Amino acid sequence: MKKSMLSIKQSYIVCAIGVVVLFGVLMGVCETGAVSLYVKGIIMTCCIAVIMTTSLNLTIGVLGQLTLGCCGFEAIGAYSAALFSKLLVANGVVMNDTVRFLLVTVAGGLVACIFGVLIGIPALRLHGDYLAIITLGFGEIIRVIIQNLKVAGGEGLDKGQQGQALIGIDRLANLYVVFWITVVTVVLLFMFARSRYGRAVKAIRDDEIAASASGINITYMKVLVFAISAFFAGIAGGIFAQYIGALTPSMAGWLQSINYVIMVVFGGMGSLTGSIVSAIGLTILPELLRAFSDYRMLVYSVVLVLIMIFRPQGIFGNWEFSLPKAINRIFYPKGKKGKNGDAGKAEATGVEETKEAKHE
Amino acid sequence: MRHKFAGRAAALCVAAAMTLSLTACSGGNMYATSEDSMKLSDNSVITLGSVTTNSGAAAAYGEAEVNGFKLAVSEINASGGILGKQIKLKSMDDKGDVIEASNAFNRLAGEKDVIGILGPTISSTTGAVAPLADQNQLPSIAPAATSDSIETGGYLFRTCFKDSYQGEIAAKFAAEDLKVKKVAVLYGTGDPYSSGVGKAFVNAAKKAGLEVVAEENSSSADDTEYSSQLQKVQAAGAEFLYAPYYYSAAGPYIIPQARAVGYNGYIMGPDGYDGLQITGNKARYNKVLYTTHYSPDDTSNKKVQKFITSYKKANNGASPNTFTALGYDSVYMFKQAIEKAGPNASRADIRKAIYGMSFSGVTGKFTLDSHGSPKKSVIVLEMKNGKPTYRSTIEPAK
Repeated sequence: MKKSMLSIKQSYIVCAIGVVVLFGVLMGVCETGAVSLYVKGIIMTCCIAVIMTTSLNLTIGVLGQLTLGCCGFEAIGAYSAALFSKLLVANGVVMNDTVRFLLVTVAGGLVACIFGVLIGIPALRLHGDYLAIITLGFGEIIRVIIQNLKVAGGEGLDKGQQGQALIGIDRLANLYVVFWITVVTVVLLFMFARSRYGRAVKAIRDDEIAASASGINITYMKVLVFAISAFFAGIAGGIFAQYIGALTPSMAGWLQSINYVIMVVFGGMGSLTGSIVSAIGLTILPELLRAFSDYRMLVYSVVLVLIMIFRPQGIFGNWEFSLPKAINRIFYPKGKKGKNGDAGKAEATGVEETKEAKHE
Repeated sequence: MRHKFAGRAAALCVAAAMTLSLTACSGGNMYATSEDSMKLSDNSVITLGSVTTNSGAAAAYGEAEVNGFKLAVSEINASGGILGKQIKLKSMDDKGDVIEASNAFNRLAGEKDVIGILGPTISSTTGAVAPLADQNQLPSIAPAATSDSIETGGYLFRTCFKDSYQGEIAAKFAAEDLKVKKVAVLYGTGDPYSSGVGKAFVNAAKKAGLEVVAEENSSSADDTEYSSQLQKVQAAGAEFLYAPYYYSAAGPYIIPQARAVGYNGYIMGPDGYDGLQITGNKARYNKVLYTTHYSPDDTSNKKVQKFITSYKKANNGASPNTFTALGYDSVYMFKQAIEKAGPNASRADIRKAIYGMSFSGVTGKFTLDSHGSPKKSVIVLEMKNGKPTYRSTIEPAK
């Protein structure tokens, strides 16, 4: 059995090589100038969407709780990162652009994470529809608060104007750095979902009472997942702020959140592969359809409706792509398929990013 | 041993790639590289790109703008084009979304034959595109984005006046035309448009020597109940109320409620009153005024009637609105700038020609200031029997 397949360590290498190769491709096309700023912009947008969708999938797919407030956390992360960046500049802190970008992005994630915990504790006592409505309300609250904050408008900080868009944010987002942030995010989320914690979370999703009876601290687990999800949403927000360079409070609105929920459901709840593919697909689709101009949004909607009719579980259901598994299939076709599946799952860590990078 | 080595090698491999990407590699930067844009003489046609909101909540605005672009382009082409070249319009939709707007703008910026951009439509997308316009050195004219905060003084210009300017004009109108002494203001603090215009009015009113007897707020611009604030306005003895809101709040709520608490003075609003919803007794809406960019009844400007006639001819008798007029003027601004810049102009040359230009169009005569916003004449409309009628044109302060 062992001889006919890649070992776990070997599969790590395969995954790592896969990622690096795809990064090489990305770098190759960027450095040679083969892709325009337009294409790079789309890749950047894809990375942000991937981070948002995979992190949201942790709450919706793995924990099984429908939340509609993810963009509230994204907005918190975006505004925190933007203001922190401005604060550093205002205080004359000089540092490398990349270091500053990483620092303020992580800071944005942490602030979002704190809010995730604060909101998660009361909100997660509720289930299903009620939780959805509470998180919906939360997103709106964030929006209104940001709108009324003096520091979060105009030029920001002491030059702030209440109720205006926040402008003049340094556009430090670098595609390569964002690519690696995306890779790390997906790997961490994947590892979490496959870990002891992840299995406990899945147990809660499948049967809360049984999980509780088995000694799982349900509240703790739920808040943990919520906080992790919020952290990565905040990271995505931080990147967004430093890519676009201007923020409006409407980014926290529920319509934006729904967009990411669509991506999660579309790709398959519980499948990170699905989230990545659908995040990239649904980001690129409207751009590809520009040729149809007036019928663009119609086609987009029709695609959504058709997928939901013919594949209600989403494109991938809860299936995950695994590069080592695929290699095993190709090079060792005689291997026992039944056990192959199990081994593949165990080895799949770190493979996600390969898939996503491939689409870029 | 081999396994351990393998794991380490994998980690090392990824780490090395990460480090590589963090070191100075210019390819990952999201800045436009300074590439030579085409000159006008390189192409047989002049290409203008447009980024507008043609789907989503603000779709009506974007569609109207595009109609204006198309009309202007077909008129110009019919009369021989610009410098003997025909104009081509490349239209992109942004759904009112900042990311889509950035993508669309980047795409047009990457097409070297595109010499200028019309749009975006709304203030949020314009705010996102403004730094891109500067970086790509691509002159852009936003027909109707009124927010104060989008100004860069670089490559982004606009055809409409900005929010705070309307507040100033309203104060001037109250002092000089209506000759009132005691004014009040009511605005929504949570809404950039409402609060921006309202605060600008207060400042200008004080400068114009008016007494601001009441400054009332609502938390948002789409509340439905304003009676308590309006009672205070009435009690303070105001003769003139400035209430910068949208048509959807002013029409059915603010104006009827103001009359209900016994306030019979003037009520004035900004261009958000366009399409004011009339409910109940039409007499309640008398003495309601608002500032706007364009009026079909404007007899002082000959271009207006010509514009309306040719629009109706091209669109089966449909009437153009303010956004169409602004879009129409934006194309003519490019025409004037390109003619000034000459047949060998690059994007940067055209930007220079637009900067500080004086222009006379359907929406009035104006000169662009150093931030790219016009100081222009403003139309005041007055409601008579439930219909907005042209009252006067206020020329900008010299």
